[in-house]
Amino acid sequence: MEDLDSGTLKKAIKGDDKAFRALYDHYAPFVWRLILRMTGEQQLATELLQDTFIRVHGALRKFKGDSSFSTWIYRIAHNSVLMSYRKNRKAKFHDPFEDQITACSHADLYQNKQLAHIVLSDLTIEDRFLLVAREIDGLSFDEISQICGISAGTLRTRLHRLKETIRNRFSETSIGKEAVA
Amino acid sequence: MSSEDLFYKELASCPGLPQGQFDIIRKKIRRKTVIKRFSISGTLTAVLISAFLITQSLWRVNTSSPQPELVAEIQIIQEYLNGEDLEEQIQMYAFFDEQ
Repeated sequence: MEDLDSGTLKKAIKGDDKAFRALYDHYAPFVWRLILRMTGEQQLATELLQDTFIRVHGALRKFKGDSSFSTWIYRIAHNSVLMSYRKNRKAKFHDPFEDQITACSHADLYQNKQLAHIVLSDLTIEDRFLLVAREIDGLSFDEISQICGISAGTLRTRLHRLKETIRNRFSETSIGKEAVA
Repeated sequence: MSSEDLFYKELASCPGLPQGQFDIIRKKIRRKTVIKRFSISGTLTAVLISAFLITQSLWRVNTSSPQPELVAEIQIIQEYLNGEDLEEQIQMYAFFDEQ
């Protein structure tokens, strides 16, 4: 993820409203996808998105530039989700767009979404984070390590096992075959 | 495309960001800021009032006069220590001797 230009970032840190708006416009889609994929609940994800940006606004002055801004904002989003998860203990993954896809007439699209839903529902919240951060947003293991406080080596091993589990899940069941058929 | 590829493709495709979130965030930030300022000013006012009351009570202690019984006792002790009561004591003993 490309970072926002340093000028806008500095203005946002100084409390400029327009710059903060630009910061939101730049990072919100990534934060939204991460939170939504981690929680699997649109309502909760919306609340956590708001919570994340309120925290970002409150902590902007504390940003020292030790890591990239995207890593820093990712860490806040990750912590918001984990805190909410610990508070509510909502382990069940619910695809927020199940209702929408049920109504969808395109069979392939429905099956793809169903496939993603079934596999994601079996993963832990940390595994979902690792998968999105590494495989979708392309963060390095070092960056992910800074975010969740687990060593890069452990993360590498965990992702390898995770991908293997997903692969096995597809081969064990007929979900994958049904989806692509 | 394999089922695994489809899975990652689906994982990446995410529904759009809900509209109007920034305005809600801005409102919440403003509310939080107002509450923060209010609590800071409230705390400061409470501290100032407490400080004023403490100062007042200390000033009252310093300026208050002791009770008359205490003053009399102190006077007696002071006379005893200074030897001012000796003459009075001698006269009293002389009176008892005469009797």
